[in-house]
Amino acid sequence: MANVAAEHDHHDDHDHHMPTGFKRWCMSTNHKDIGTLYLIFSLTMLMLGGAMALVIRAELFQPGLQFVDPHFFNQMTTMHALIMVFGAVMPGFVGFANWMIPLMVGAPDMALPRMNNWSFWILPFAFSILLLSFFVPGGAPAAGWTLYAPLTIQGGMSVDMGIVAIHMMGISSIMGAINVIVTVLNMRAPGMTLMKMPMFVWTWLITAFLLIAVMPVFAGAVTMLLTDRHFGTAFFNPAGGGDPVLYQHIFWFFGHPEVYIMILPAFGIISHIIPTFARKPLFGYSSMVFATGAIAFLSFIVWAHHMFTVGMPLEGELFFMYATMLISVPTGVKVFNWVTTMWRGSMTFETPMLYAIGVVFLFTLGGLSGLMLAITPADFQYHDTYFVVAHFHYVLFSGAVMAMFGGAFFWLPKWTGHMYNETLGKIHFWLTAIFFNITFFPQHFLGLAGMPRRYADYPVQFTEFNMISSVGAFGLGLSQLLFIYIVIATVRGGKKATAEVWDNPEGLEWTVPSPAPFHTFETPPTVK
Amino acid sequence: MEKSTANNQQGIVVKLVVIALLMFGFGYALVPLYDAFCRVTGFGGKTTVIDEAAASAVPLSDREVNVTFTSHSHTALPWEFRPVTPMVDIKLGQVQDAVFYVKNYSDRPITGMATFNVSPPRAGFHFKKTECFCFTKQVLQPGEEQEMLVRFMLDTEMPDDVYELTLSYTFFDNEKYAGQ
Repeated sequence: MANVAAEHDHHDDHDHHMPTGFKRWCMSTNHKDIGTLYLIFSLTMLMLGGAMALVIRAELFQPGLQFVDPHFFNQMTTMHALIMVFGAVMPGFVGFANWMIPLMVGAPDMALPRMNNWSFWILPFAFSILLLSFFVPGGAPAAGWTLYAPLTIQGGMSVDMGIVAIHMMGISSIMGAINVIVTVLNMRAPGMTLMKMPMFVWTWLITAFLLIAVMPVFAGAVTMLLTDRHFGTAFFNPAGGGDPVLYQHIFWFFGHPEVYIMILPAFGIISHIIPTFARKPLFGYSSMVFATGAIAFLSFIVWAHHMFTVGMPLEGELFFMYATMLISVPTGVKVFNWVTTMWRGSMTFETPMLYAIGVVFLFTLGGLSGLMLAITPADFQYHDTYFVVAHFHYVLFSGAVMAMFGGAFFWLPKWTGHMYNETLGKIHFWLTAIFFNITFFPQHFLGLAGMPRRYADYPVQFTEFNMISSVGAFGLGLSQLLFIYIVIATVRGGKKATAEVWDNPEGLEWTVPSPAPFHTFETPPTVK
Repeated sequence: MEKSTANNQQGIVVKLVVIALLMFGFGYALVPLYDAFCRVTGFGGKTTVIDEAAASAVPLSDREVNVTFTSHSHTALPWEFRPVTPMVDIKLGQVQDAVFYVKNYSDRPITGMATFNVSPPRAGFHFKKTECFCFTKQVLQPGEEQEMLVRFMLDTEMPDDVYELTLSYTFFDNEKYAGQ
């Protein structure tokens, strides 16, 4: 503030002409603003996808058809999944990456700020196209989020809209991934070697490579669908000599790494929260890094475990079964390290820590049901039942989404400069964790009893567990309104947060004031 | 220093974009790769083709295998399609004919193409055809009926635990692909 007149001459002194309104948000190249936009987008999509889930659960509360017709039910399951996977979880983690990676590696911004703006602003358009498909003749895509051919070779124009939306999301993800890789490789503060990087940065670096490797394959698969539909090719259409099973191979070659794209950043967040509240450094840092790499590598050679039932030679089944089981080894290393970090730590249980422990416990349950599904002969029984639904919600909701809640509470004071209401935070955790289990635990039993997924109706013997599940789902959905309230209240006010926020946390992000100023680390810090 | 970092940055971006484009191509490359994989291994019940001379040169074995024929015509195709003899017992190495009856019930000429599949899949590799109506497109005039031929043999390498196998055909309407 020493020389007000001089500031007008120095255009590179940004602090004093921070843009506002349209210019600030729509033309932003600031990693923090773009991160905020991603997080708001992700939360919006979480609510929208959640509302669709509630339509599904309302219909399944009782046997018979009560609220929606089966075709609309199928649109709901398909769109719920597409929105949650591509709209809530992936952009959510990109939001965390935007906010935290530059702060964690001591960089002033992401390496490619303009591309960063573009990556975000593609998304609202992509999802508008996807959602508008509800209003075209025949309604939204209803073939399941996997968009299996040959069903998707039929179907109305909504499938084409879905394909275009997926292309746009893919471009957005790939650009986001390129940005992360360049930032991490190029813009680390002096002294921060790769093996000194925070775990969240490591997990995102590996995630970004996975994205670049598999998103284009998915784009290729849906492009083939598109040309099969309109341009006379026959990649998947048997009438022209194509092979529908080929689609499943290509899809899952993308789809399996995709599930690690959605969980690795969650592992990164957990690896920050647990050491902070156990007041001990992360146990086995380098084994964590190598475990992440090993998981990423293995994710490329297990895809056919999603399709054991298409019929494959015994050798193939054995290979994919053992390769899948092998993934539990590096994952087990991670769980072991988290638990060992807590061992004899001076633990306190603030909201982020509750979430972290919840994730370690519930994600491990999901991993266990995953191991059950990996057993080929057992999979023939579980395939496409509610057991699978329960399994992937345990890893995706109580893994990825709950890790994001934990991360949000963990860094919210850094983002807003205010402490959130700890009591409400804890209530949100317990409501979420309890209702989540009420919703999804009974689905294990439904699946084992043979209830298939993706049907609007079911035989009466499944009624009780479905009722319990539906009650849990509404509780889970409504509990998230509390999250929105807490976030808004924290943005608006609350106890001032210190720069460190927590008790002696590790990492460069805690060396900048709270809220983190618009520009940080314009002179790189030195890491010892 | 500033400049070299910028160049380095551009280099990484270019490399990553190239990787992304290559992976897009890889998605497409999976199509011929999968086809080759199925042909080599018989994966997915793909059968193999040999010529007449090679087929008759294979020595006859005493082992008999039961072969069942099944057939479907796709919902959108108004054809009747069925095997004339639904089942045969044949010796390994024996060249066998199977005849299928096809009739077009519609009032327009239709081009059909049959796909095929052998179950159990591991037997597909040892199921060798010298002649098949499924090798080419078939055109049926309105009301036309035909008997179509498959000539095949089972080679002597057939896995020991295969006692019976099924050859399945599905006829699809090929009009959409008529230009190809």
